Amino acid sequence: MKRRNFLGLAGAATATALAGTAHASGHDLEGYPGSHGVLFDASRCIGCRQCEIGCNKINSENIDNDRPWINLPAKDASVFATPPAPETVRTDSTMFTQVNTFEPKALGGKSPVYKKFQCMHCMEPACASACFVKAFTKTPEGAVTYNGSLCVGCRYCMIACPWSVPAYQFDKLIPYVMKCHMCHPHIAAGKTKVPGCVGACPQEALVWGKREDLIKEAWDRIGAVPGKYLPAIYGLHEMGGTNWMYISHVPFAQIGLPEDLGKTSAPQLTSGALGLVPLVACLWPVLLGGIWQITKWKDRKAEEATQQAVAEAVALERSKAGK
Amino acid sequence: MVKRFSRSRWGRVCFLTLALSLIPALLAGLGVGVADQARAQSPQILMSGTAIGGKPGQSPLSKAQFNHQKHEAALNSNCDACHHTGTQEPCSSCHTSQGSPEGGNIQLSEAMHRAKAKASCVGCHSQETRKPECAGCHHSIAPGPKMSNCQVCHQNPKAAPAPAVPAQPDTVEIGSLSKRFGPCTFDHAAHVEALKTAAKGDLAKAFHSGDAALCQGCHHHTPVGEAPPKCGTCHGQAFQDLDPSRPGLMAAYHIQCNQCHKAMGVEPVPATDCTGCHAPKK
Repeated sequence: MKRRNFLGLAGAATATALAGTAHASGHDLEGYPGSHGVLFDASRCIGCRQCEIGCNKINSENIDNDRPWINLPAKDASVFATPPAPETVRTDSTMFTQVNTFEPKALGGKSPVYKKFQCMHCMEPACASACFVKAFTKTPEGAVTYNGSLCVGCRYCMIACPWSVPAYQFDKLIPYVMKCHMCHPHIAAGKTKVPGCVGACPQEALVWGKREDLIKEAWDRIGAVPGKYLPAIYGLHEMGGTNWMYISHVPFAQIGLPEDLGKTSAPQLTSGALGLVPLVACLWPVLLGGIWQITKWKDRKAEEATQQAVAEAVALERSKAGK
Repeated sequence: MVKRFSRSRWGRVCFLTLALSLIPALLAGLGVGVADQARAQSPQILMSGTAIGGKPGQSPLSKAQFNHQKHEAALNSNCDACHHTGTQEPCSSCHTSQGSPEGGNIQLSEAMHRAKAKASCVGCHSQETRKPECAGCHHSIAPGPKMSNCQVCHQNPKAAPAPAVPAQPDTVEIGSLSKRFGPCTFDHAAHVEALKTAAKGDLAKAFHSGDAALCQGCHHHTPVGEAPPKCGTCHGQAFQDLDPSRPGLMAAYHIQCNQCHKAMGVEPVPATDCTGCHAPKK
């Protein structure tokens, strides 16, 4: 029997005993129904940075002293009076979101196109699957939230995220991971109806709504004026689908959105292998211990048989000599 | 098939010559350029479509009026822009009413109306609307023929004249949203003048049903010639449950102003400078 077949059979047998092991590799999750998200329209964004101001405003007000990790340091509005950051600058631990300026080749390399970036709020988040203390939660409302009280600071989430979103407070004595939470705590508390950035956008380049409604709205806009947008929604399938989606009049790769991420979510890529870990951890000690016991028992039996044979031979010789 | 009716005798002679396909030979013999031949066309040509399976001239619409002289002048006598085969054969010799292999199985109606084709009437005109002076309004209008504007080309000679422009204000005080900033004074007259200047060409005049049509660039969903309702009549709170895709009033204003300025290449103030348009609140 091949090693793979053996493990497969052993897995099937153990799966029924170990509840939960089989579920880890079974995959039919379509995302939470009715979950909310945001649609960003690159053709509407004018790079005014009002979203950044709106985000900083709502998230720097200290609403909960027991949970310091959800607060941003307050910034003065004059910080945002300059044009948006160049394309290479990414979010750091003092911000949840950032607007970048791109000069895409599709428009001759001269006309600026702006893109707001933040956590994509994956339907199946890579950060959550990489986190071994369950500090990240995909909420039924759509947001991926972070619980700093559980975080051990391993920063696996930063490596796991395909968009390099989580940032770390390297300059703090007690550091936390900082990442957009789609204003989930604020909406839950009734402080606001839409995320801070969405409410601040004067262009409605950010549209808040149920994910299924946003997909319909995106296709409506794409279909209304053929040729205006590229006929694609970024985030519809990327990494298994995200709750924050983009439509654009220039190729996504030219506004800093990688197009080679594939349609498979990160947990789906690893769940097969990771699902075997408890199996291996439980089964292999028993198996190897058993083999060791059998080997030992065989050796002992052989030793006993030898000694018995020697004893019999000695006894036989003695009885012969005694005669 | 396209039948050409010309008013002048000279035009009729030309048409007959064309129909007999003697012109290329004649031209070659006389050493006259193709452009010279086209210049001899009568200015106004009536094109008549044929209902599929019907007889020539049997079309549900009035004949389309086509001014060859004006188009020729606008294209700097580049005949190939429309006569894409390089010859001056009638379109219908290849593009028959039901399509033929010679014409790539493209029917005559498609040859005139296909929005993505380079040499079709509609295709070429769609390209024209991408120019900055037109794009301000046309960037949000899908290219191609609409059900309501067949009559722009297929004119009924007895059609009513273009509607008059309703009375309009010189300036508009936009103050319904003055929360962070003071009310915005919008120079309505200057914008109307700018649009009139952008649309002063013969092409725009022919296709806009009078200056009243220019109003629709901003006052969308308002019938031509009618006084428009206030923006806030339809645009209210953003992200409402029953109509999540309709922009709220703040976004409706900003989208209208910024999208048009961007498409027309007018950039008055940096996007990060709100006070460029909005006076600070006192």
